[in-house]
Amino acid sequence: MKTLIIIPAYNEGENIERVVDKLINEYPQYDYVIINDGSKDNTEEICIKNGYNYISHPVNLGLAGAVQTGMKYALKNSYDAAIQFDGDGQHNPEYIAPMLEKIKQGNNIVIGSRFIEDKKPSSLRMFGNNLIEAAILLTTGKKINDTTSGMRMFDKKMIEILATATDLGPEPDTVALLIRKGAKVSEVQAYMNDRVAGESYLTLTRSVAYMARMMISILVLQWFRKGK
Amino acid sequence: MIIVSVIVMVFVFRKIRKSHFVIEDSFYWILLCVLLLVFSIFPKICYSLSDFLGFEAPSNFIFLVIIFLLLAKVFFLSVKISKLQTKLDNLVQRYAIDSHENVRKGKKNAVN
Repeated sequence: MKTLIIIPAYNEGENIERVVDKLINEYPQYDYVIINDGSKDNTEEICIKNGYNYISHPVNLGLAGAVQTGMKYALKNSYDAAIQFDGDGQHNPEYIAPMLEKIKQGNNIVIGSRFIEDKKPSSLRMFGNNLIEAAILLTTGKKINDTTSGMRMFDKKMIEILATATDLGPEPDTVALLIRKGAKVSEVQAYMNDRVAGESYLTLTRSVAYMARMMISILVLQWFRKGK
Repeated sequence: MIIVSVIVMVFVFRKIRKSHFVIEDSFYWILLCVLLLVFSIFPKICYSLSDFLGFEAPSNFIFLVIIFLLLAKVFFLSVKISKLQTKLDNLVQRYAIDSHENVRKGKKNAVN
């Protein structure tokens, strides 16, 4: 199976080398592509210096745009599976193999989930995670343990949809919509690392706004959206 | 009010002449100016209209109409921005992927 690792990177100069070198040295069986989303730091220089396979946006589009570029690249080069992989080192590549296994079993989407074997810690963020989980359960009838995990693998069919559709960002509401359109979703236990360098995007206000957006999108807007 | 609507109109026409403004987008503002001008020159129209529709005061009628027009404008602008955003995303992605491809081809040629 031709597998592509999509690494969206925005100002990840401090992390990208460590993440990508690990992939190249320890997992040469997978292809990777870095999507440099108009970074203002030295991310692009690092890619050139090390001869990485990278695509560079001339301006910043945001995570959704970057991941979609990866999907378009995957579609163009006819990959069988594509995984979204954070450029900051939070995701561990050893879970790619078991996730790929699930794709081979016929699942369309596989989520690298933090909470299959482990219980969710009770924190504010996990409360948000639970809320989205409940919303997805309510609208699709499918229980997803880790809705906000950024580590998601998609099969060929999903790659095509994500590459061509507008407005299907790498967020839980997209997963919910795809489930309702008939996609089969599975989860694999994956442990994630804390950030080593750089700052997390999620502050409290942003988290609250994010939650509100997700809830409205999943509970209300989903019914009006047409997908393929 | 007459003065204000004339000033606005002059402003719109000047912008069109300096081509800061696509003609198509200026229609809305020209029509709005005309409307304001008509209302200010013939306030009677306004009085009878608001009376006919059962408003307590003509000013309420004017405010309602203008707020509605502005809301409609903001809504359509919002739709337009979304469309532009989508186009921009597609454009940037296409450009990025194409130039990546070119670099790769260039490298291959260099090796050969």
